[in-house]
Amino acid sequence: MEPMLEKYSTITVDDLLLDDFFIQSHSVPTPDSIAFWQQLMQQHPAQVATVSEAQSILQHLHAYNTPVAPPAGAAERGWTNLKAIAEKEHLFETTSPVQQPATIVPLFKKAWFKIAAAAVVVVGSFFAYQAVNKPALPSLVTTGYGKQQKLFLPDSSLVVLNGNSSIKFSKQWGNNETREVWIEGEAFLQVKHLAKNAVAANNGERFVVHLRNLDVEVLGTSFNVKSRKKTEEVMLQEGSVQLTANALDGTVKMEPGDVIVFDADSRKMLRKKSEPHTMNGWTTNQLHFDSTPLTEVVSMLEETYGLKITIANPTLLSRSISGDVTATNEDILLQAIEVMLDAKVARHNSEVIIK
Amino acid sequence: MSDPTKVEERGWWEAFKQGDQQALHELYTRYFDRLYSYGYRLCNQRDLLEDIVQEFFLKLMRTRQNLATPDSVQAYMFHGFRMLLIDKLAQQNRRLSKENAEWIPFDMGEMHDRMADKELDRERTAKLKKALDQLTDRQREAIFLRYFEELPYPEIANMLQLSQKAAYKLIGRAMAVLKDSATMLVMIFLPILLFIIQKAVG
Repeated sequence: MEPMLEKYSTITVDDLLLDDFFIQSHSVPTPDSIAFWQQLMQQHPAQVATVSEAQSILQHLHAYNTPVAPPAGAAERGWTNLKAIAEKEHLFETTSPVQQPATIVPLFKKAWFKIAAAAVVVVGSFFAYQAVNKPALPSLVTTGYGKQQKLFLPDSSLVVLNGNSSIKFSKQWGNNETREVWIEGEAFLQVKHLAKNAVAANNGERFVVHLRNLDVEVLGTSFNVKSRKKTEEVMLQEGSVQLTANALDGTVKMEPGDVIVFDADSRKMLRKKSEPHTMNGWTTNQLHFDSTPLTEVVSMLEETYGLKITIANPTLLSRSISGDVTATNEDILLQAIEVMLDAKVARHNSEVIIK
Repeated sequence: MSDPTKVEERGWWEAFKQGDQQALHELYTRYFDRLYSYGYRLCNQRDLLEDIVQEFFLKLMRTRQNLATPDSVQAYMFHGFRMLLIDKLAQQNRRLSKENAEWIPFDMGEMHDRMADKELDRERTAKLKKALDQLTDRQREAIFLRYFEELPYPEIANMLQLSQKAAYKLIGRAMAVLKDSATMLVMIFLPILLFIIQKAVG
């Protein structure tokens, strides 16, 4: 601060009025800037008059910062028009990931047409759904069953929340504060890289995701976290993260492709491998199953979409499914399961019976 | 670290470029009123203004895949909107030039009601108003952009097609006029004040 104080110790009113730091301190005072100007005036009493004169001029000038309100409803009217034009001219559709042809790699070939056709219908409604679900940036964002939401954190890191999930974070992140978020449910994160050197990371470069029992420390990375009833799961797509479990000593370092599952009952961590590119498939509605036990698929459906699923045929319990499904809602998934397992799926509201 | 709003808005901008309509809506909500308010000072035809703000966002939507990501989304918005507005006004009157926008008025507007009874010196605000009226339209506009929208000098220079040095000077001279108008008052009263103090001490 000393060289700064030196610079301002002889400044004139004219120069002060043009000074970036002074203008900024006037409109958005921070504890630091207030302390600075106080210190300046204490150490250089001759500047008291200068600073207060410049302050007074800006204050009086701001009396003319009168916003002119647009006519009532103008913004809403405008947006409705814009949306209509965008739809007519397909302005938001060409590069969207969900516009790629909906595909399923089936176990049974006859399934292909049925599922793809169903997927195409729903893809069209995806943007309609997006448009009404405008994201705000409160410190708590929650998604309902079967809804996804994309949001940016204050450092412009990207988060995609899966259905029935929530994220909590403070609205403003200071320069030297550790970036912290708390997640329940499932989310995919793409963290903005700040640290050049992992070892020398200072507070402002740290990014920590808190699950119920696990803390994930991140250094510029893409990864998926899932914190459901009994298990917490972290999948690393790229970069590196370090895990700490509240109940356990020591840390676990993860490599791309690693999946770590923490079981809350046994308090044990399990390491698996997975294809990195499939981890965030759900964010674009592409689900990847690779010998995934039906029981696991069922709990995913229950947690993400709020379904109550009963498997009525016990022989199905030992079955697993493989394949890629493009599904923008749970019905497509249920149909995929039906076809892949050659089973009957009946749904009444949120109750589903597989037999 | 850079300004969090700036970083956040770049995030929305990037998402919009990649085809996220809600991201554009976020920016639209943030900028509709501000652009309208700025535009009103350049052109007080309300209907036309409403159309121009809308058209500006339509242009963004139509060209989204060719857009660059600016360092400051705010500066990009104000600059792009201003160019479109000048275009439209020049179309209305063909004698006016699109390249040199010196002919565009800039009306600072009336005093804020909410501010009127704050701890402001009424006399000083009135003097300031007179001084603002003496300034050129570009000086008023530059003051608006620098002190109310808080755009940095390089961005203002860019918008007003000036060199950075010239933009800084433009604002410097304007502020000097405002300052002098205000200190005139002090200069008249200072001798009287000194006289009274002298009397009191003596």
